Amino acid sequence: MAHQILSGLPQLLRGLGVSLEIAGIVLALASAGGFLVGIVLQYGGILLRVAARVYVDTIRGIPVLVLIFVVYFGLPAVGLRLSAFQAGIAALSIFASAHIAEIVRGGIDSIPHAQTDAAKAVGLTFWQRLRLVVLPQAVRRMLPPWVNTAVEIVKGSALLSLLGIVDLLLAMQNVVGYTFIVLPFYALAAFLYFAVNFTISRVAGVLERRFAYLKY
Amino acid sequence: MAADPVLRIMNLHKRYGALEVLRGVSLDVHRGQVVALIGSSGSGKTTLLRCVNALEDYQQGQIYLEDERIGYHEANGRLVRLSESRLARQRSEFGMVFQSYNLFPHMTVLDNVALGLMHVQRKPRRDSERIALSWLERVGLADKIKAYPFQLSGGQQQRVAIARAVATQPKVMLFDEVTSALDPELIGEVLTVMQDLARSGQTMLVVSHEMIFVRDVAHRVVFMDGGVIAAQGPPDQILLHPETERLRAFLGRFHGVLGHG
Repeated sequence: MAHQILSGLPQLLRGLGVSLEIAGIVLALASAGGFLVGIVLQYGGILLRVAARVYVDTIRGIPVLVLIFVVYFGLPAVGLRLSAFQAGIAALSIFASAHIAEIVRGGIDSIPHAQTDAAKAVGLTFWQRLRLVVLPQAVRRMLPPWVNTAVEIVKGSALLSLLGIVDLLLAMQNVVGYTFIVLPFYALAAFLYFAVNFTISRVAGVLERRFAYLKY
Repeated sequence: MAADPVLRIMNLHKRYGALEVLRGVSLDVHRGQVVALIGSSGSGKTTLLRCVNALEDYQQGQIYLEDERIGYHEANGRLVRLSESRLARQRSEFGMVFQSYNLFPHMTVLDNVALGLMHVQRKPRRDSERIALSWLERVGLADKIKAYPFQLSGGQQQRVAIARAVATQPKVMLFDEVTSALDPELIGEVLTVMQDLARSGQTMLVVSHEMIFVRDVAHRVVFMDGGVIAAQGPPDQILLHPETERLRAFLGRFHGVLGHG
């Protein structure tokens, strides 16, 4: 049995690689998209703001699996046919963007308005105020929920196995399929997910302490 | 003193919804002058300062810094807010100090003061830091340049805030009740710095309840009441020989401070 587990390992690690790739791409896209939407939520004109609000609230109210199916099975009906990988990335990114947008908005909003007044009084422009004064302070407050989202993304990537993407979960199921060794492989896969997410949380803990000097 | 005012406020009206907090304020400040704004809370002093620095919008009136219209231009008889970048440049001509200091907590003292020099005036880092250091020396905090704001006392923070505001050599300094949040024993060190600035010829518009300071430093005292200027004149006239009942009632609260009643 030890031999069989060992022989299944390369497949599992390839699957893990795919899961990490998905999570990495989604986290990057969702952070960029969520940042922009979050800025619009906080500073945008009324029309943009309402649009961003509708987007965020709608997406946050939908189970991510439904979103994945809509993108993969639903969009071809309107002529947009994506590969399973593209559809999965898109659906997870749309989902995580909405969450990160709210994190960005909340983080910015938590900075006392007096800071913005002081930055204006110095003569900084909007983007300078954001870059030099507001964001460096807001980042500390965004970090914990952003890490939560990163962990959710890693876990959410397992749902893409339902589209036939051979991620960690599906790779594990494949191995189980021909070895008939069930529990050890499930435990191994669970451990790998845990190890990734535990590492993310630890790194975040270090970063948080790095920002701990910020006091008012 | 130059004949033309540096700062000219004309017929300023400001409303928050139905509440009109400024009801036609006109005020000139000449170069090198220290003008003190006094009055009870809610009389519009702080709002006036914030309008001058384009931190607040207003519905009617004009503010000029030298020949430049601040905050708005007029199109078809309507006030139109200037672009964000022009507002930023105009604000850089003013220095403002707040009641609650509002230092940037994630920056060292030196970086706080150097920020405007580097990013607004676009001076090289070396020059910015040299200038910032000289201002910090002037407010007596050269030994604190590597400290973060939370490590300083309120009085020290406020002196850093003054250095930050004045470092870019603004045409007019605006002080908004800068000693009101301080413990009594820390007020003196901040007032000393302000007095030093006033003596050096800095044009200043100061909202303050420190009547001794106002009497000794201001060239002109403006008493605001209910969103209008109710009285103005030299400190002796306004503080020692108040002509109206409202002004007497207001000054009565400082009875003993000024040694008369």
